[in-house]
Amino acid sequence: MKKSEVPQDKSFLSENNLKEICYAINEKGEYTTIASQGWEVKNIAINASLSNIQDRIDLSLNLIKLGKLSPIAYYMELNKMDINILSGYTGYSKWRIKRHLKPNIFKKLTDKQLKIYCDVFNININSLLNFKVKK
Amino acid sequence: MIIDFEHKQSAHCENGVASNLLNFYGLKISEPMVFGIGSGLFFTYLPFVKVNYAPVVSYRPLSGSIFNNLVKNLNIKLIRKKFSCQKKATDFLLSKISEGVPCGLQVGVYFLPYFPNEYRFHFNAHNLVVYGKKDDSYYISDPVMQSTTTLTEEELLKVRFTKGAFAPKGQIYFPTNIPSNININRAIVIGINKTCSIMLSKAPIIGVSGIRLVGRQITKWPKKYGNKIADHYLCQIVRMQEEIGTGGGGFRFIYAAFIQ
Repeated sequence: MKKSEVPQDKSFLSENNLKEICYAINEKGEYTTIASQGWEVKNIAINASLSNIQDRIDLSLNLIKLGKLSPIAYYMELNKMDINILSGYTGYSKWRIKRHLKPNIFKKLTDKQLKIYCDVFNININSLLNFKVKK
Repeated sequence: MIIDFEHKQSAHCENGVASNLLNFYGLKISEPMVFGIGSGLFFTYLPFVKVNYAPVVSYRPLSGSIFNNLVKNLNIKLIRKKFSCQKKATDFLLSKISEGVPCGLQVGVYFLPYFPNEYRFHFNAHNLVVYGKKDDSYYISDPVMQSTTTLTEEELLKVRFTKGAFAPKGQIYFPTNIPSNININRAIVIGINKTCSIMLSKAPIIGVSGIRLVGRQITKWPKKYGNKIADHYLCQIVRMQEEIGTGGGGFRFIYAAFIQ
């Protein structure tokens, strides 16, 4: 990649006044570092990832509305977590979290158990107990 | 106590921490040289392991291996410690700072306040240097940032003890016993030989064979999984190749700079 070819597209980096280092060839053919403010190709990839996360959040809301999942599912997706990561943060095993994701099991969780999830998601207990899917 | 530490921005966090820490002790080794001697050039495709619901494609070996290979090849001692107790982790860091020893830390990026939201995923193999503490502020030299930043005690603990794959467990590391004579030519040859042997491995999911395998797989994904999943997998490749501070082209440009 030549110095002149290093992309300088608008990106999430440039929005935050950040730049990242790339390696490219200068006029003498020597490798040097160039600061890049972004590349449209990477924007597409990141936006696709963020869009996927939003899809997962929307799906979780639908399933909660249909009574198939508990509100834990929503906050898990909102925080970009999966069952593995949530297991790490709560200390609950993966199979226990799968149980807590079922509405009939979720109803029986104690305040102490709910608080563990609340601390991980940084929400108060009402957000879980009185969770309502907005239209 | 704030140590007189020179911050330099780099493309990749582990390279940058290694380079900046060794520079502190008077050993000037650039990012490309760190990467090359540390045998950082790599490729693997793990279709049976999913991260972010897509198969793992990695352009560098496991976190820590670049610095480990580098110090081994230069006969430098590198001390690494992990902690189950957050207080012990904090006390140890503070004791090293008070001795004037800047320290590398492994951290997760999800809770890093100075990262844009769009980059804050549950990625636990990030590296930065702490070079001071004053009042409630730790002085941070994060090599992917243009200048130094600060974190509060609470913020630093949170990033040192994130959970998930490759959890940092408060890992701290710093070089000691830097010899006065470094045989850099020997280190370069060892680094290159190791890279060659890995990239030319016969295993189908590693090195050149792995790159060719992924190339063939990409053309099959739309039919096998449908466009939506094929797109998602392709985005994962793009992000692993260009996003995680590779300097461009899956570290190929950094390695080319090393070879030059």
